[in-house]
Amino acid sequence: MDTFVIEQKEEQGSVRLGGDLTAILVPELRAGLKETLNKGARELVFDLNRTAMLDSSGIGLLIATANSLALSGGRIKVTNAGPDIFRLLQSMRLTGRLNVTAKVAQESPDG
Amino acid sequence: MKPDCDRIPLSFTQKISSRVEEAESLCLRIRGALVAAGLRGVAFRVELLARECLANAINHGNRRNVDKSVELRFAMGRKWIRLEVTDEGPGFAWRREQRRKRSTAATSGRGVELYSLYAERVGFNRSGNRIRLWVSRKQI
Repeated sequence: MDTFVIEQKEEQGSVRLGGDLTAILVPELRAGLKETLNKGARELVFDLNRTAMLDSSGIGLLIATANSLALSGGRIKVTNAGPDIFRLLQSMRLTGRLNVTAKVAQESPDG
Repeated sequence: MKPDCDRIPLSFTQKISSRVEEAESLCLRIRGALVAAGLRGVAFRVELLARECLANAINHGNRRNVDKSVELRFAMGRKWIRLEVTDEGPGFAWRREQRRKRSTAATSGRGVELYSLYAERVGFNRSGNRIRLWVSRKQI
């Protein structure tokens, strides 16, 4: 999978990350998000299913996206946050602002 | 009490230029070292702290001047993991920065807050261009 995939259908957009959301990815992702917002996206769902690390640059980008969406009455959702990332966002009081939901642990086939 | 890092089964020092790509490689090296040592439970904390220290050193300390370098010392003791990051900048008013509270809408400036959230102990030199962080090896 690429580092990220952005899909958009009218006002709904999704961002599937292929790995970590850190300083090295932020400039490229920011450009992609800007384009998506300019095309009229009002809800953006970030899927962190494959993301093991989130640093302050990545957090800054998520907040900037949330701030931009809020200006047009839209919102961000961050889904599938692993335990470490969920705790990080929780400790920074950001789970509400970013509408974060945690990854659900997969049950083993044996139950 | 000062954490004991006298016995260090695994340690290294690496100097990088002020490039995000080099910081990324170094952080992945730290992740690999911790996972290889069976410390997956603290790997996220230590790697995150290393990322924040390196980002601050590159962006604020060295002002992204690629001719200036950043040195990271990583030391794994029996009880503690120690990170030390030094840049070539003039330093900063770290006492004031540690007291600063940020709005949840702020898009930057969270590095120093993360230090106190994820490290058991944080120390700076007088000018503020060298930081030392200690993280307990005890898995949470």
